Formats: sequence, C-alpha cells, structure tokens
Amino acid sequence: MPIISFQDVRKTYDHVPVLDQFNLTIEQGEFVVLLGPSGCGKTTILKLINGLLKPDKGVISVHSKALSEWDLIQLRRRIGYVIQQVGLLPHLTIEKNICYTLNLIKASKDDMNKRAKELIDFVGMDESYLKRYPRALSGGQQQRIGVARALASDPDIILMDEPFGAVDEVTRRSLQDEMLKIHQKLGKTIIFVTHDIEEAIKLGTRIVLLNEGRIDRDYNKKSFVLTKERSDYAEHFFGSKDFIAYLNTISISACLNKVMDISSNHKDDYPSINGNLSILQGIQRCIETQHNTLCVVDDQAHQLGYFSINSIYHLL
Amino acid sequence: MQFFYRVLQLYIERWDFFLELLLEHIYLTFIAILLISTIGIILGITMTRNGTLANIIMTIVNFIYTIPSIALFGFFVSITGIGFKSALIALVIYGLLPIIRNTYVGISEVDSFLIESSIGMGTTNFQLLYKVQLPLALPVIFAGFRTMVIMTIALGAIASFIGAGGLGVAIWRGITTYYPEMTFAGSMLVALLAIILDFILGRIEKIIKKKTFGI
Repeated sequence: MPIISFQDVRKTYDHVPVLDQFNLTIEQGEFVVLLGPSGCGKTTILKLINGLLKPDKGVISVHSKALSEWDLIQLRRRIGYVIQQVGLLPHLTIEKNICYTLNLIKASKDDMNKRAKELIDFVGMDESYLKRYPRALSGGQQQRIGVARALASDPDIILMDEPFGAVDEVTRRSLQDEMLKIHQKLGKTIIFVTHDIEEAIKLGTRIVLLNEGRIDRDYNKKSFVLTKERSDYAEHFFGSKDFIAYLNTISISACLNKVMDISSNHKDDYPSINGNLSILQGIQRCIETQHNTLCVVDDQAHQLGYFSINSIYHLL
Repeated sequence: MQFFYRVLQLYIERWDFFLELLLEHIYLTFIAILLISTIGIILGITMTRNGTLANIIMTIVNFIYTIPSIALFGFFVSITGIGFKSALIALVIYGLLPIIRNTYVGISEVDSFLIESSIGMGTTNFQLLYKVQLPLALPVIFAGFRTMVIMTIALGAIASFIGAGGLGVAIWRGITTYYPEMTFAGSMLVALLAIILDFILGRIEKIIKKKTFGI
C-alpha cells in the first residue's frame, strides 16, 4: 500500500505547467530523494503533499486517502516539514520551537517538556539549549532543531526541502549522517528535495531525477547509479558524479575478501586501511601506494580481510 | 527669568485648576488611545487578509491625514456638535494612521518562510495570527502605538478649542486674554505629559524588541 501517491497530477503557475500528467508512488519507509536543477518542480511536488499547493488536476493521496478528503490541518500535523531557511520562530525558546506542533494540539506541559529533552538529545545537542533562543544558535544547530521539531509529533512522513543547503560542508555531512541514523532508527518515510548529487546518492534509498516536471530516472540507489541506459539529460546532469558519490557511500568492510590466495607470511607487505573508510578512499590508497591489494583493519587494528579493486566488482 | 518665575507662581496659585485640566486631558486622550488601538489593530489585521481592501483603507486614512487637524475638529463640530464627543471622534480618526499602517506593515513583513513553515506544520488561520504574525509584528505595531500616543496627547490640546476641556483650555485662555504665562503653563504640561509617556513607552518598546528579535 503506497503511503503517498500522485495520479495524473497537473500543476501550473500563471498557466505555465510545472507538472503535467505526473505520477509517483512512495512506499512506507522509503527515503526518496527528489533530485534536479532549480525549476524542475521538486519543491512543488513537496508542497503538493502537505497541501501548501493545490493541484489543478489529478489526485494526490496520503495514507490511501485523497487530499481533498483530508482535514489539511490534521494531516499537516502528521507530516514533518523542514525547509532550507529552517523557520524557527525567533520569539520562542528552542523548547517551545521543538514543541510547536505539540502545542498546537494542546499536549500537556509535562509531555512537551519530556519530548523536547528526548528530541534535543536525539539530534545530538545539549539540553541547556532548550532555554535559549534560535538567534543564539549557529545555522547547523538551528537546522538540527528544525529536524527535532519535525519529529516532535512522531509523524510517519517527513518532507525536507533542501534542508542542508545553507550550512557549511562539514556541518552538512554531519547532518546527513544524522538523517541516515534517523531513517534507520525510526523507519520514517522521508521525501527529501535537493540539487546536490552527492547528497542525493548518500541519503536516498531511492532517487528520482526530475527534468522540467517529468521523471527522468527513478530507481533504488544501486540501480540508479549502475543501470547503464541513461537519457542525454541524465548523462549531462551527472557525468560521473553519481558514480563517484556512490563509491563514496559504500564502506570498504562491505566488500571484503575474507580469504586471499596469498601466503600468510606475505601479509605484512600490504598497506593497511580502516574498514570504515569508503571504497573510493580504498581506491585512492591503492593508487597512492601502488598496490593492488590492501589489508583491511578495524579501529583496534585487528585484521578483517583484504580489499582489492577486483573485490568491488561483485558490488557493481 | 521673570517670566518663568511668574509661570511657576501661576502653577502654585492655580494648581487645582491645572490638575483638573490635566486629568481631563488624560481622560480624553486615554479613551481616544483605547479606541484607536482597538479599531486600528482590527483594521490593520483585516487589511493583511484582503489586498483590495488594504489599498482602499490606506488611501482613505492617508487622505484624512492630509486634512489639517483644526479643520477636522471644525468639521465634526458641524456634525456632532461642540464638546467631548466631537473631539473624541476627531482624535480617533486622526490617530488611526500610524496604528493601521504599522499593524499592516508589521504583519506583512513577517518572513514568508516563517508563515509557510508554520502553515506546513498544521497551524490554523487564527493560530497563525496570534502565535506567529502578531508576536512577530509586535515591535512594529508598538512603534506605531508610541507615535500615536504622543500625537494624540499633543492633538488633545486642540480639542479644547471645540469645548472638550483638557489642557488646551489654559492655552486658549492665555491666547484670548493675552496672558502668555497661562499659554506657556498649559503648553508645558502637555509637553511634559508627552515626554514622560514617550520615555516610558520607549523603554517598553526596547523590552519588546529584545524579546522578539534579541536586539
């Protein structure tokens, strides 16, 4: 049963169609990334899901019920919403910002207090921030609170509109890791809009490439990167960026050769590498050290197995 | 110096007269301020929900503002007669502009992404108004309120010309009987009232700004 579906949806701005005959179904628990350049309709799709925009034609269903039959206010309270500008209310403390939706549904003070502590902890921040105001926080911290706020009412669906577009590279990476953790832990359905290819490949279990309101490419992550047939548009959009990003998302320990046909007394001849690093870093190490094979170790320097370029073939 | 000494003497001898005028003045302007705030904020909010209406109201209010205040008072005398009622109506109409404009501008200038994300989280229209728009527009609305209060106190002096009482009585009497000390004594009290209130409201404005924006 899809959790969200678009059927023949048409949406125009000033008579110019942004989406036309648009179809998309999203299953429970998917982390769908809508990827494309600005103006491709990805934000429009997001805003159609929580009813901030109305389609000119077609049916959008959430939880198998058409939007027209939903009480939009009730529906929105069950959908987390995170935007690039974060949108924390400057006159409210962090605690009240996190509990914004809970306050709307008039949850008890104790519940809100408890939930705020839980969530700020969950997004990796100290409880002392609860009493502060948004302006006292950095952009990255604000967006962590933005994520916490979206989780407050324990929604099944979270919509994210280029949430990490305005934070620096290092903070963005840690926020992305946070999102992966949240997705794995809580099993929410996440619809994530971005124009950043690396971000898309890193986060999505499924990636949808959009071109002027049409779906150009829609696969799960592995097939998305590795399916050979690509449109000219996708070719032009990605070049080799998606592939490199893909190699960057898989850790070396995911493609170990447990047994090697080399005699054990030669094993010290191989350069070692930490298994938590990505395949791309493994390849880099091979080139730097001019070895075909690397000895893979864990954090405690215990040997886990071997890595060679051959060993990634079965993954691809 | 002689002049100021005589003014001081006047205050001491006629303190009960001035106190009564001051209280009348405060009473008239207080009621006017109350009415202006209520009507102004309601109109300002209504305007943010309807663009055409906003243009119409803004045009009318701007037009009224260009009428000299004394002419406005005179105009209402011909409709509602001499006295408190006419003065009150004229004060209210004249004082609406800063409150309406600041309420309208304050709410309109709340960042659109704050509005959209609030709506996206399931905020009803009414909740949006009192949880997001009004609190964020409060510093701007209050700045308009402050302007309006000072203006109404000053304008209240002219209200006495149409028989509404207040400190204008002293000013008017001073002018008609060529008694400059009396005119000065009345004006001083109006100015003092305005300055004290402006100071207090200025402090409150700072606190509100700090609470809302942290600056």
